[in-house]
Amino acid sequence: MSERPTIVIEVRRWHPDAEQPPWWQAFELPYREDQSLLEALQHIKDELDGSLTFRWSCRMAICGSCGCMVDGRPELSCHLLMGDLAPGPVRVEPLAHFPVIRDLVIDQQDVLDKLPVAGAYLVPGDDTSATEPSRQTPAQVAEYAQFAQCINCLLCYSACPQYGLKPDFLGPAALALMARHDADSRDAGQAERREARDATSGVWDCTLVGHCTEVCPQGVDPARAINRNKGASARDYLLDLLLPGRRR
Amino acid sequence: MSRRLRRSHEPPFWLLFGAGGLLAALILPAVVLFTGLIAPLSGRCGDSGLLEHARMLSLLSTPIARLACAGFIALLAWHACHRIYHLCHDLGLRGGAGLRWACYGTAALVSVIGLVLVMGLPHP
Ligand code: SF4
Ligand code: FES
Repeated sequence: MSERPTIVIEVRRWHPDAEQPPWWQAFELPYREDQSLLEALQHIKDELDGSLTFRWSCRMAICGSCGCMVDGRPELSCHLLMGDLAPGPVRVEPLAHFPVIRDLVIDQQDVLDKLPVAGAYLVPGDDTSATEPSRQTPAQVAEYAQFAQCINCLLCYSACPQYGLKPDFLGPAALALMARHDADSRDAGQAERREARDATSGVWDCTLVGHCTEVCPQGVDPARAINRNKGASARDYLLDLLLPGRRR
Repeated sequence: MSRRLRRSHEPPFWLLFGAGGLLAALILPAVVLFTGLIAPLSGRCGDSGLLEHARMLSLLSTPIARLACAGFIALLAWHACHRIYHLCHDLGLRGGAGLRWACYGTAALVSVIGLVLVMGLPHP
């Protein structure tokens, strides 16, 4: 049997109790074409350096835990094949724009805090029955289905230069989830979400760079969700101006 | 988490930007093609009258045409200045209110000057 080819993976590492700034560590390891980058990281942890720390769970691009920067681009490490990364070297870093807890593990608290601010949950209306199911037509589902595919992997936050510049920005996924619930026929929360939508740190901090949409592994298209809401926000701004007392 | 949700006053500027962007994408290339390429070339090929002063003036003989022309100039200016304002931010230049006034002030100035010049053209 022929020897397996090897590849070099460079990982940006940092430990809170190591008294030194982040450092790069290179690992050379054998790989298979159909092996994922996550499996390669697991090989490093099992065989080469047990202290390497990273998150993962599903190994099939659905839990959203394994995000990291791969050669400068936000990716799910379980969603990349080593065959596509060869011959390397491959540079792996923690997701950009987030505080690092350790190695590739970032602190997501900021986005978790923003989800309720953006109203990223269904608000039942007065006519919603507590016991009967709320049925929807296929057309009603199609209104929001794309935006509902988000797995909270946060790749879009790392891709967004505006989030990097303005940490208050609610950001792509939270605003896509805002649009997702606004567009749901069972939802009655549009009025509650307006304050966040119309704020500077709501849709208006977005300048339609569009990189969020390019990196999203779920095809959510946050850029479209945000710009749809920019139109709605602008309409309400003009109406509030022309009809005093319309709001508040 | 302390996050104040201040209402943005960007919508009117964004609407002007969007309208200007539409014109810049749809009409500006035709204008550039016509004034920069077709007209000069047709002059070389013998027909020198395409961009003649009197012809251009007659094109702008009605108030509606003049207003449309002034609006075209103004919207392009608002589009460009809004872009520059956000570009400065993207490049990390923190200009604050001064930058905002400089950018949108320029757009307003260009709009007024354009309007005065176009409306003040002599009638053919
Ligand atoms: S919108 Fe896409 S990239 Fe952003 S968190 Fe959701 S799934 Fe991930
Ligand atoms: S491990 Fe679940 S998305 Fe990669």
